[in-house]
Amino acid sequence: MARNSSASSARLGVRREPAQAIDVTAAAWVVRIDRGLDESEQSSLEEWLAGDARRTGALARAQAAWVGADRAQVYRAAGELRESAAGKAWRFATPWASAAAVLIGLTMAYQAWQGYARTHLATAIGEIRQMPLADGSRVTLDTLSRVSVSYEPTTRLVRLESGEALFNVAKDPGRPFVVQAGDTRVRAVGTAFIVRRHADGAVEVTVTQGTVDVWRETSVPAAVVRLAAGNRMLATPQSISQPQPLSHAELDGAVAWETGIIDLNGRTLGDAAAEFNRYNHEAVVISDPQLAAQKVVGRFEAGNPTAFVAAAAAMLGGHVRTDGERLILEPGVSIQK
Amino acid sequence: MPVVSTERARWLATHILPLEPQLRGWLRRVIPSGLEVDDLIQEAYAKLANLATVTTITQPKAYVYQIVKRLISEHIRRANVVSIEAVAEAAECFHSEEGITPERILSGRQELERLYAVIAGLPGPCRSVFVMRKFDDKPQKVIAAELRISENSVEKRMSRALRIIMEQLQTSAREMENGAKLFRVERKARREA
Repeated sequence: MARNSSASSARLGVRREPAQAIDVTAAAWVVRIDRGLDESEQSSLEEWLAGDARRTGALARAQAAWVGADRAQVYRAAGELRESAAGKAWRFATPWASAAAVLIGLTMAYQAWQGYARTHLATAIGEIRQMPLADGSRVTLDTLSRVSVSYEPTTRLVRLESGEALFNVAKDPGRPFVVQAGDTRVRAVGTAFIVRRHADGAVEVTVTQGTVDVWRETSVPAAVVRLAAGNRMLATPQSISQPQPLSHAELDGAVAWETGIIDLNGRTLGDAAAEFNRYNHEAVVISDPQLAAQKVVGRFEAGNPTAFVAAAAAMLGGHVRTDGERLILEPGVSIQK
Repeated sequence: MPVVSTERARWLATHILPLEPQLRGWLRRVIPSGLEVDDLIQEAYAKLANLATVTTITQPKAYVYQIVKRLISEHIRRANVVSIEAVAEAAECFHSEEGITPERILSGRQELERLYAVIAGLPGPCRSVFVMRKFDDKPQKVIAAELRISENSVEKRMSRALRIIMEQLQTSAREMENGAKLFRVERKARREA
């Protein structure tokens, strides 16, 4: 049988088709399958596959890569990929933002020339953007967030003016990376962490890699809390909490937004609605307090509140009413009693 | 049916593709002479593609390592001339640890990040057709019309894009290993400091 002989022939010194060549043909077949095969192509594919057992594997692998690439869609930056692919300028959510883009471009050019400067970066509602900084660090801004970056010879200073951001910091021991969020300070050398400003003034810090120091810049010298990877802490105007270790699931949930996902790990429906409303113009409204207190689980696309509301209605037995830009979830029979 | 079902391809994409860098890294260290890593990988995928069902596989990682080990022993058995070295090497490979240090495993998010970076790094002509197909969900015919190129060129660029993605997803193994090594060296230095 051809299949068996192909495996042992290598040992006998008979040259057989290299695996790389099979991969090339497999990739071509996957693209042809995607556009549709006619009858003669179908039979030549079958013939090709029968020629060597490895070919089925190569085809399966190529199809996995093809299908797997769909997952990159959850990145909101698809627009950027497309535009840069066509050789045009990046697309921004609003005309205001494109003006900001020009400003960013100019200040970055200035920064490159000057060595340091301040740059403002912002996202519109529902937008998640990843932006490189001059030193190789990266900042990923969540929905409706704003930072200003000023790189000085001795410090890399980033002010989180509102919202939430993930920082992937390039190593530079001589030039610490400091995030200011109100009077809370987070200092890192080379690490990755998330800072979120809550509406009530609290600042939440979650570390995914490395270690950071957190303290509050107040009139009285305050204690410095050292936060290692996998921990989270909350700084409020009154106090600063000790590090709390997160489970893997919680840590995944904390960074889910970066890929456009909202992870509802046993949060209440009311919380979940507030979270969706951070990302969308359409507002999710939970009319009933009893319903709002119900716990929900699951991972949802941040930009698709309709799907979330439908799923919540199905999970908790309610129904959805649409009123303009409001998606109202009302209790159904099963909850009212 | 010779074509792998979308469902199976998705299962492979979720459970096996992300393991590939570490699986290849392990294979490079333990493979008996006379066998090729790429061949074994393709053969392992073939086994997984031919399974009637994968729903019963609760531990894809253990499963795929098992498959590869079995393939190696089949090769040894089938070889006309079996060298003692090869048998010894194979025995060693079966006992080598396949446990991976935590820092070498990419999280789902890092994986997406990597995938995204690979797509963003494709050569322009390949990237444009790939992005139009995958992100805009446009049929190849429509892409050809919009870009005013032949359907054959779309097909060529698309398969080149897919090939590059396949290559990138496997070659990052070495980078990841180096990264893990660096991480360990740094950690050691920090401990000693």
